[in-house]
Amino acid sequence: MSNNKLECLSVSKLYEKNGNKIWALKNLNLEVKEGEFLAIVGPSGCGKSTLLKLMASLERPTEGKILLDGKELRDPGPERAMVFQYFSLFPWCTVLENVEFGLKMLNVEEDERRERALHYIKLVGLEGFEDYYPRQLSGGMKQRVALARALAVNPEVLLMDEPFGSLDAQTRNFLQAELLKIWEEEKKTIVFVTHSIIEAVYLGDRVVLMTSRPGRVKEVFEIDIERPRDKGSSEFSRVRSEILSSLKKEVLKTISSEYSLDLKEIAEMIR
Amino acid sequence: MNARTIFVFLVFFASWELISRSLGNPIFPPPSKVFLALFDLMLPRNLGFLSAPVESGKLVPSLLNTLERVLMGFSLGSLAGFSLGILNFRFESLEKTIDPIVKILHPIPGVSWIPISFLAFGESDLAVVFPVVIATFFPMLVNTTSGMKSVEEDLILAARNLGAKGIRFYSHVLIPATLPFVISGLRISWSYSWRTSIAAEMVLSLAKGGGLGMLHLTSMYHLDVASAMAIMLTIGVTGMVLDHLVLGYLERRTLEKWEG
Repeated sequence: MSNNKLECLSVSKLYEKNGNKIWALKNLNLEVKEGEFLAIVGPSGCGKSTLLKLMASLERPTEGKILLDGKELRDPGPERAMVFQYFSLFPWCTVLENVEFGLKMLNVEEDERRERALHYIKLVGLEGFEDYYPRQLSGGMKQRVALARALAVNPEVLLMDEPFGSLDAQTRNFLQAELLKIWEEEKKTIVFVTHSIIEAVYLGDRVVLMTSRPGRVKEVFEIDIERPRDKGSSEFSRVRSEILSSLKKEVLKTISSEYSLDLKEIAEMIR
Repeated sequence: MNARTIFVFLVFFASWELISRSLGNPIFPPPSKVFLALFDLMLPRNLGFLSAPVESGKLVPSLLNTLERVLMGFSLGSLAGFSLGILNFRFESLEKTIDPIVKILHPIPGVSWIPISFLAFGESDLAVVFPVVIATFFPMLVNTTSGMKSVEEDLILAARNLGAKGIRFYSHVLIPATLPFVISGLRISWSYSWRTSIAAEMVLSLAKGGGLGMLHLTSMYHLDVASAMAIMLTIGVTGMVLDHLVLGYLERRTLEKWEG
């Protein structure tokens, strides 16, 4: 028995729009280990978000399968809770009601529901904001509510889709550190999609680099830097530039396919 | 009511009074006469402030008749429109199938259905209720359908991810998310149904007795323009109260807290 929590076995995803067939993912293989913090980076449009939706069973793979603890996944479930880039809080619910939402769907008793929701609201540092509506909160606070909402259902895997992508740099740095703290406390498996290599290297046990569309795993980097990681250290920079140079090639491929330019031409242009 | 509103009303009624008195034409009575006629219409029979012998005391029962018909048609029509809107979301093929028919029927005003309604229902209240149902149904259907379509994809995914499915997906996610559209649909539907019921009552003779529409028309037959205007005022104020105070209150309560 392996210690793989999630496994993607030659997963492909085909989208058809107005008669055009686009392979978002093609033969993607990936293992996520139990308790691991896995970061995924790749050029834009490489299918990172699609992969996350497939892992959450919010969409079905066209080919291949995804296993959780060795069992094939079919339907969405709160054991794989997702955090979205634009928070996706329910605007008609207060902070407390948002965090309670998943527990309500699980038919958890009201007292226990409240208790667990309050625990996670406190964990993400939003004590005192229970009765606020999402519109009254800043972006960073909204994303903490979303995190609390996902954690409250006690998921085995946390799927995070560029959760800090729309936040300002300071909030982002702060929440990255908070997330690591929570991860260490709660011992969840986390799959974290980002377009920031710095973020990926700062957070991940491993960083998966995806190819340009159709997305596959191009390279997997083990990040052996001890936590808390210093984004300014030379070791950090070395790992970062290693991933960056590999990513650059993929970005160039995306650009060349989008603008039908020759790779060499682009290389000249951006030099 | 703020100072500006009061001022506007004062100026409005004062100029109306002045112009009317200077013209001295009976088809354009001054507001003082209109308000006296209003009292006469409201108070029990034959108190006789003014020469309105036929209609005096009839305002309240007529208003109640009208409200009963309009509220029945409005509730039926909006409930049906809302329900079909949900089905349209659930079954995309249903929406595609009925869409061309809806597009043609939607612009036909409720009043156009009055003749058919008369032939079908005769002197029964349903003759008024039916065109009101139609007038309510289409704006509600169109608003609910487009409201459901405009719910953010990620919101739906987040809800499904957290285990919302079946009937609870609708009651806890889709319907609250569509509420702004539903309420504005209700307000449009209300204004249509109010107009339609008055118009229907003007042309139909009903077994249970006329409503505001009939009362209005009768006053005109008696060349009692002051009473007719008093009834128009009643129609305007009742429509406004129900829209602004009832539906507007609902809107403020539910939407302002989460839309800002």
